[in-house]
Amino acid sequence: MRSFILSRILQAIPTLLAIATITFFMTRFAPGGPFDSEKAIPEEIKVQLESHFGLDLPLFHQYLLYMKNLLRGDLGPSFKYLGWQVSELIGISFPVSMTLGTCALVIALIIGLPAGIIAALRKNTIWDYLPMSLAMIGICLPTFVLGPLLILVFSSTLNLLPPLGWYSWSDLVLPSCTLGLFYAAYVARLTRAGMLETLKHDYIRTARAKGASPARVVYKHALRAGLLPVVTFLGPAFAGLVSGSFIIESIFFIPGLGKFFVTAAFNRDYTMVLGTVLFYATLIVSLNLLIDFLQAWLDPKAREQK
Amino acid sequence: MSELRIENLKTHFHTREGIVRAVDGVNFSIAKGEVVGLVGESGSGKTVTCHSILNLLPSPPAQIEDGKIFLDEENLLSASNERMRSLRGKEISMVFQDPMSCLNPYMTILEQVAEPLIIHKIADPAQALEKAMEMLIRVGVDKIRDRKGAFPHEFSGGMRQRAMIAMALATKPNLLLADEPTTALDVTVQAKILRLLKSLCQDFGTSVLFVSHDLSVVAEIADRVVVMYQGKIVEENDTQSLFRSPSHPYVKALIACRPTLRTQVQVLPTVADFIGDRVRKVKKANHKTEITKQIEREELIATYDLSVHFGQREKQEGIIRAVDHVNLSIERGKTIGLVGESGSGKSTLGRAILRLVKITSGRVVQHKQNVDELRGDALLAFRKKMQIVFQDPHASLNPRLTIEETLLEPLVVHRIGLNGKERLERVVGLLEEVGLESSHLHRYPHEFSGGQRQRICVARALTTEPEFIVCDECVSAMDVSVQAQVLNLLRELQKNRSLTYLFISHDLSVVKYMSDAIAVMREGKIEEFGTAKDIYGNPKSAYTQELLDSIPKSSLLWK
Amino acid sequence: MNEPAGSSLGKDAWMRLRANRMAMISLFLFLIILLFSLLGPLFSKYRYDEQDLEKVFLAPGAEHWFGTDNLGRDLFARTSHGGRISLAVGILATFVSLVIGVTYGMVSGYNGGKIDAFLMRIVDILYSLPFTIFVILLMVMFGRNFLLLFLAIGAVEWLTMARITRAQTISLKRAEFVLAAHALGYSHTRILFHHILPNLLGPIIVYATLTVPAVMLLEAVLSFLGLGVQAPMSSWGSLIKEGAEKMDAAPWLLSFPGLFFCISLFSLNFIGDGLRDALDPKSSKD
Repeated sequence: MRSFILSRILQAIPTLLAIATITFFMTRFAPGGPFDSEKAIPEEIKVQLESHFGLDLPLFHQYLLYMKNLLRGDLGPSFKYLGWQVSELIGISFPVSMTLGTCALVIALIIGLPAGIIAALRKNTIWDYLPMSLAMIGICLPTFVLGPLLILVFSSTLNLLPPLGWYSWSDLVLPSCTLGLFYAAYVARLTRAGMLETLKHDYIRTARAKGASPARVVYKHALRAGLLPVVTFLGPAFAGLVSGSFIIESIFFIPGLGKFFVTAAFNRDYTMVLGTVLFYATLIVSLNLLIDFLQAWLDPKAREQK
Repeated sequence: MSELRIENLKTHFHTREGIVRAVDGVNFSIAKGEVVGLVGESGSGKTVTCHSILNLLPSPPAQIEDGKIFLDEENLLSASNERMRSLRGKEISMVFQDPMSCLNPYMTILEQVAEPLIIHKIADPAQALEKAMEMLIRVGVDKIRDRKGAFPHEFSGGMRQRAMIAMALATKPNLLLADEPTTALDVTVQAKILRLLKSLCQDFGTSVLFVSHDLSVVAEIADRVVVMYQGKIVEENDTQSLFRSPSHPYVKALIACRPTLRTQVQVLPTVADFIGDRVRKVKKANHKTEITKQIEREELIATYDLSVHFGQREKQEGIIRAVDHVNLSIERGKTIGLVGESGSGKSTLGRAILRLVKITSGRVVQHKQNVDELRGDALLAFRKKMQIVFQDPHASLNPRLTIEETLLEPLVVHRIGLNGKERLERVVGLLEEVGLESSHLHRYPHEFSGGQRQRICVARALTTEPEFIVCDECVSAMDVSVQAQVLNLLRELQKNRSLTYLFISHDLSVVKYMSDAIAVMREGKIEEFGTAKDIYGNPKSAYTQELLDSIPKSSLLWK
Repeated sequence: MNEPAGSSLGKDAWMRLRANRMAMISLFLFLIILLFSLLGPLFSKYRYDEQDLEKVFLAPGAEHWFGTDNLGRDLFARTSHGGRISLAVGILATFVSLVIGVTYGMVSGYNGGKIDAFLMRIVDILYSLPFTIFVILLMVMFGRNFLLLFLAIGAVEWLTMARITRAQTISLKRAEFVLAAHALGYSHTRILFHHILPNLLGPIIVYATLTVPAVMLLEAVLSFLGLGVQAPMSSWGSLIKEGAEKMDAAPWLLSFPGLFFCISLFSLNFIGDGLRDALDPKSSKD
């Protein structure tokens, strides 16, 4: 087990370095530069700015310089928000996205898990069809349709909740519901499928033959294996929540990392783009690692092999 | 007195294709302390009967249409769900066939054995674990002493089945339903489990309903035998009388068509011979003498110091020595039997001889040529001469190809036959040779029964006119009646085409019936090699002796 | 076990699909949407980019069936045109992912050993990347290009396809009919294309059906962020974006494209589910 963890962590390092390299060259080979768009800047100031940020150096030299700083944990200064370090910008905006993502995930699990379990246990009854149809609708109703709809209903019409911004706790409700409901639908479907698969197993019949009550069969015997697919899904789900936050943040005008990233990309803010990509990559790679361990912990067989 | 009595039980399955009368009016009873065997082939309704008693049927599609099941004058079929739950695992316990899939892989063995005690509030959780421990040790799962937290996958199949028995008997139930409890196990393990089950049930005074497809196993344990056929009971008698003088033709057939160690007939009788009133005269064997007529002994293929290892390349401890320094010489026109328990490497050896697995060291030699060095056309010529038939005819036919496509393909690859018409004629000829019709050509594999599929597999192996066929457990998954037909076919083909067989099986009786010489394999090595007569009459190795001792002895009582 | 005589697995699957009411309704709905997108422009008096500044924000009516937008463009024409783009992206990108994923998965699974370990390591690593971010980055940096759009999406979606194909190939490779094919001396190409590939079709078709809506969703996300097709061209995603911005004044701008988009996702998902049940008889037997 320990060598497994170690090897996975060691593998993550070259992965992250490769991402840094690819992103670095991708941004540099794309047309346009950070100081091209604003016509207000006179030519000599632009030259000065570029030499200040080292953009006049040969490309490979820039790359080496960036990597050297990166290995020291320095993401460099932002090209657009002059005077700000990239790490500072991430430090401000990420907690916003994180709060949103966590709330959405909690909503998804609170709604999705029970719905899926009930649907599996009451297969082919109204308790199956109803939640599963709702789930299908949830999956087919993308956040950018659901978001505006929720605003229309709860803010414009009912005046219950604020439509946009990020000032108080009530601002959290609509965006995290929008994001969470989609994933709740997904979790419900996965839970149902996983539970149905598990309930087919012979050992469930053994449990029934022992005289276990239906509730005991579910929580003692079926739940653990039935939820494995959901656990596996958590990795991609979190990555999805991160990218989903781009949409949500732009619908609800929330100053999260997603919004910063898109703006940075449009502005050719090289260091900010690179920093954000690396930050996301690190986050997702470590989350995947965590989920691998969780899976191994849930499955005694895998635990031993690893 | 505790007694189970089943009256006119009818359990039907309502499928899209119509109603399947799985159990169709069954009556029998089990007295206190009695062991009753319930025998039948696959699909006869024996397992459904068993599950009906505990109401463990998948419903829908299963539905109990009629009948009564009395346990001590209480009709179980009208009992409430709560009442049934209080009976399950306490009054009536069950042991299932596959100890691999029937134990929860996510719970420790100890927890699972303790669970019935906790559910039925016989003991508090701490006591239950202690009792479970005692029970496990009693059934011989000694490893549990050092490894209290062990999960099912850490145990062998035999140990898992012992744990299942411990779990079922922990509550000292009045009735135990054992559904094919030894079918998934090796013979030596099967013998031990049968002994254990018998003595424990005697100690606890538990009655047993022992369900199996294998008459000889049932004969070993049951006081009385009930035979099921197509959802109905066709015969019921005490064990001795049933085997001595079966009255129903189907039961006669079942007893006759399974080769025993003493079977000496050339053609096995099949169920059709008995049911269809055309009782064939069973010819005594002159097969053995025929073989000895062939004076010249020619080696067809041989292995020298052959080893096949699986597992990690460099890591020593992970390596599995599936085949370990094996020398085996196979003579033309003979049948070599290869017996061994699961994991003994017999299938791997068969595949290594055909160059279907990568060998680690040693050689396979055919016509003074190292088979491993064959390339291109020489390899193709080798493939043409050497064929294989596998255990599962379902898995060994490509489900997307019609029978015609399956059988034509080898002819095309090996450029046999001048044109399409000639090839088709050959294919039709082959189909008829294995007992199928040309009208079957355009069907897909899933439209055939298991026995028919195996005939198709045999036909495919014959397309290239091979000299040598490896029969890899090719009748092991079949009901005895079908098994007899396929065995007869194989022998007939051998006679007509002077084929050489390597006959791999775990079933010692079948191997003895088929083979001229026999190799006993264990842990990748050949334990003993000799003529069938020597091996069975006068085994040299202790392991062979143990194997022979494990064959259910009651079958020797048969006339 | 009691299948009718003389039927291929495909026919059986079709019979099972026919019996699935939800899947058949979905198939019907999807065909309508397909026809609407393909033929809609023929019935419309207006072109999708025809502006009429005197008729802005007209509600749906006899003249403009779906109403008009802020530039007086006919929403019926724009929705139908947007459908063409969205479906085209969905199907083309799925095709790209299919070709890459199936080839990759088959090569990896069939070869096994070190090649397999290496190829799958790459997929694992790619899997752990924030790919949506890369697609967004690509679209922002290199401009909004139709070709680039579905190449980028296809490149993301092939990973799952490769994994599925690999897993299936490995289990087929161990199947006894493939061993029998080896024993009969068939070449690797013959085994791969004649024995393994046809047996892969089931899962591939199912997954492809489920990939189309996933791709359409990704395209819509990009369009919503302003990174998809460029005005005056439209896709359902870009129309929904416009609609969401103006939903207070003209709710039909959101509802029509939104409805069409949701229905196509809905029906494709149900068709995919139905196909899975139909092609995997085991799952439909319970």
